[in-house]
Amino acid sequence: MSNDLEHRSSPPDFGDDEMKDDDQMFKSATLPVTDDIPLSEDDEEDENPFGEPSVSKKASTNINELSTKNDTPLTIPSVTPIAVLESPPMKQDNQFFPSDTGINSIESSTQPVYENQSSAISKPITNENISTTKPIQKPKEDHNIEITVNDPTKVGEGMSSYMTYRITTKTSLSMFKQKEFSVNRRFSDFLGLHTKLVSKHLQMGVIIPSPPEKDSLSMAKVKISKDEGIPTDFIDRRRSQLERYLNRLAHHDKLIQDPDFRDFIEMSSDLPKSTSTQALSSAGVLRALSNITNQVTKLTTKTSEQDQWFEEKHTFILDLHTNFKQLFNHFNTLFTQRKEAGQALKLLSTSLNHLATIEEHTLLSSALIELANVEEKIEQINIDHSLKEYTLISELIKEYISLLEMVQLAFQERIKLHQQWLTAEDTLKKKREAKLKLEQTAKNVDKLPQAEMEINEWDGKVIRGKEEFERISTSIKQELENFEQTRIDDFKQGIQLYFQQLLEQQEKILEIWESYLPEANKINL
Amino acid sequence: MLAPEHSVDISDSKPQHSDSINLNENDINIDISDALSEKEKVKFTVHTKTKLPIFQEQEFSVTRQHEEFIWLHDRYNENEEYAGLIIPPAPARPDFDSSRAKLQKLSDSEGSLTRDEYEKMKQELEAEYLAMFKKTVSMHEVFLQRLATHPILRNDNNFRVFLEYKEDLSVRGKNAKEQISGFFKTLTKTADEVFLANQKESDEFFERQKQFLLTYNTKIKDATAAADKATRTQKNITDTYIKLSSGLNTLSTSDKTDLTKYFILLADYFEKARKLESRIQSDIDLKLSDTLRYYMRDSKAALDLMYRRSRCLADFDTANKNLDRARQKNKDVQQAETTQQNIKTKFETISEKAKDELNDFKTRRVQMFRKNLIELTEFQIKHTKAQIQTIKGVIQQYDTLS
Repeated sequence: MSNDLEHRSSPPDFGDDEMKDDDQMFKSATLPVTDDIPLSEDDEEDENPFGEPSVSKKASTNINELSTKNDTPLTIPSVTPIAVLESPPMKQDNQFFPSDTGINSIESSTQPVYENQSSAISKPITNENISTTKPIQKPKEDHNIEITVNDPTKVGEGMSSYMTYRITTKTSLSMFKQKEFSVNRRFSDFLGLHTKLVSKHLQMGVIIPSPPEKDSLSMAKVKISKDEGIPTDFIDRRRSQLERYLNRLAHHDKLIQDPDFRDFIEMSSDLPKSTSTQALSSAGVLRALSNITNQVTKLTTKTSEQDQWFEEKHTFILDLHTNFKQLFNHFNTLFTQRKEAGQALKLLSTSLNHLATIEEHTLLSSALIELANVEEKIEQINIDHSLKEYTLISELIKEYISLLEMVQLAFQERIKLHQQWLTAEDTLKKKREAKLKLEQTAKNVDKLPQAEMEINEWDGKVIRGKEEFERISTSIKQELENFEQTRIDDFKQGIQLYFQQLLEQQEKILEIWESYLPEANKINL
Repeated sequence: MLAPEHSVDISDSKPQHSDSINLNENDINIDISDALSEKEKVKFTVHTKTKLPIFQEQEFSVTRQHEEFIWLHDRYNENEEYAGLIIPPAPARPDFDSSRAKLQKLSDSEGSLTRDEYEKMKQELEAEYLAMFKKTVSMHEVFLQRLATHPILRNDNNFRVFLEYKEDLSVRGKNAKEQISGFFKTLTKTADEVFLANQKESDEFFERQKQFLLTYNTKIKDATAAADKATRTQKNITDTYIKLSSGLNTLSTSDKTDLTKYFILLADYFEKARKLESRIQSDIDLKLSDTLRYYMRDSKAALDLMYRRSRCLADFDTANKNLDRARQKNKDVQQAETTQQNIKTKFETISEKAKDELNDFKTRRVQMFRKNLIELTEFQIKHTKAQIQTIKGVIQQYDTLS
């Protein structure tokens, strides 16, 4: 991303005054986000790449659509994608993007992103008032960042101890200082990161992935256990969940640029201890959701087509959430039952062994011992399978349950903004009416300027409210598309791996039984 | 719900002996051609074909209930003449209580399940009920067949009556007194075990047999219980497959993306897997668990033989001592001698027969284990191959979807 900035030879030309205004607003709204990005005077240009109306037909229709909403671009600098169909090199870029990640939905045809391109970004496409949200399309090859979480280590002893994890990042993205680097983090650091990300991005309509949940009980066990007794299952599961969490963040176009995230994976010094990590547990999220729904009134005003879309999607998300939860419960039950079956099988194996030692007929005795071995091997295979099943499917579902909750949170945020906007409009109306009243009565003239001022103030608020609302709406739409695409990919892959795993399991079992057959045949009188 | 009257047509599943195989002069061919489950009772139709002159007809059927089988077994057990023989273990009482309870529970929870889930669970339970039914029929049948092939036991009068007599044998259930005496009998049995274990045995063969049987019986009991538990836990898993399948289908209807097809595919897999797993488990149950269970009972029967012999041995010892004392005091010598002589004969007969029986027991056991272990393995191989085919098919479908 910073790549683009450096390589830009001539910044796009934005002569528009209006644009400048937009910039102002934009800047203030997104300041926190764009802090660290090396924006020079090019700032404005970066953010509003669409200055020139030199545009191809395709692009314009797109932009037009977006422009009507008057959105301001978000974390732009990262993306400076602009397709200028005039310049041939860029055209090629169009084919560049395998829409694997599907991030490219609508925009794909029009705005290729060239991450590591050295070609200059020349004329941006736009129409006048638009700085639209840039659909960020990165070809899958450019998601050049992989994070692994390893080496869970216990620090300290007793109830004050904690686990640290080693976070190793391998990347070719130039926004990072090195190609490979590691840091140590503890679990509460993750939760702290999440809190920060939410506070910054939720209002922007970003669907923020959530970290694994706090589990005080299991952690307590870890804390009080001695070295040998550390419950490795729990720690290992947590490790892999943390890994997936970080990778989701890293593959999210907006979040990867977040300075806190980057510090998290890059900065080698310890992070300040995060307190109050309660708030964003899944239970916390749901509580927040129910609170908001209780307070907010429905969108009774114009149910535009967009609102309908949101209504539908919201219901869709809720249904999905409920169904996933149910399914997760069943898979959990399955996991427990498989464990029990494994124990029963082990018991069978042992008792067969005992029987074999008593059995006087030697050949029958060895056949029984072999059978005991068979059962034990099968038990082992089943346990392995059960764990893989859990990782591939159950955990995936669990992740999506909390991801869907984050989606809901984003939806609710939008409703909140809508409320704010409506409230502002309401207040503005009242202020205007008040002013009218004042004007009618000849006296109280001195109160007029103040009233005037208030009206302007609220007018501004109304405009901002509307903008924020529209911005969040657009953003959520985009985010949701990305989200869905990722979801589809994740599950497809999970299911595929699961089937392969099943096949492996059965083939191993077959081998075992086939090698037993001659053993059983050996029994003769 | 299953109808309270449930008749299982067994005849289809059995090879029809009657027409194809020539009946030997000495044969008594028995099979249970039909069974009816009526409320709490099961009525077995015992069908016999024989050329033996001692029977009034050459082919005949009677209806018997479980209690009548037990009556027959008890008659054999009490008979001193058979003291030296292993009496085939009595079949277990048909117990459909658990099945019925499950069926009841299912219909109670009908509201909380989807139509699909309910149907599938009902199917599973019905299959389970049927399997149990077939098993109990088989157990009763094997009991009779063993009696029919035993050179001595087959000639028993009670046996003939059991097979032939058209009316009910009016075997009343045990009254209170008999139940208590039955209870004491089991107590004495336990005392027997200790007694047997501590008894001095001069015959090496019997000493070895004794040690073997005592331990074997315990171990095989454990193994049987373990096998049953393995089957049960596996059954729980296949039941959950039903829920998974159903949940995935629900998910697929609410998910309106490409994923729908994949979820349906996964749901489909679980459904197919469930059927295969059920078959696997029922085969394990039939071939392994039931074999273990049968030999648990049979080894118990062999132990019973050992107890009888050991009691006789004890009596023999006592008689010997009495004889010595009588000779010393020179009083009632004749009587003591006769008693001693009788017991001696009895003991020797028992020991002789017991030897044969115990050897026979071993042969039978090894044969049956061999047969069932081989069949078990062959079935497992067959089913696992079917599983592999199913999964490959599913993977193929996945590939066509992508």
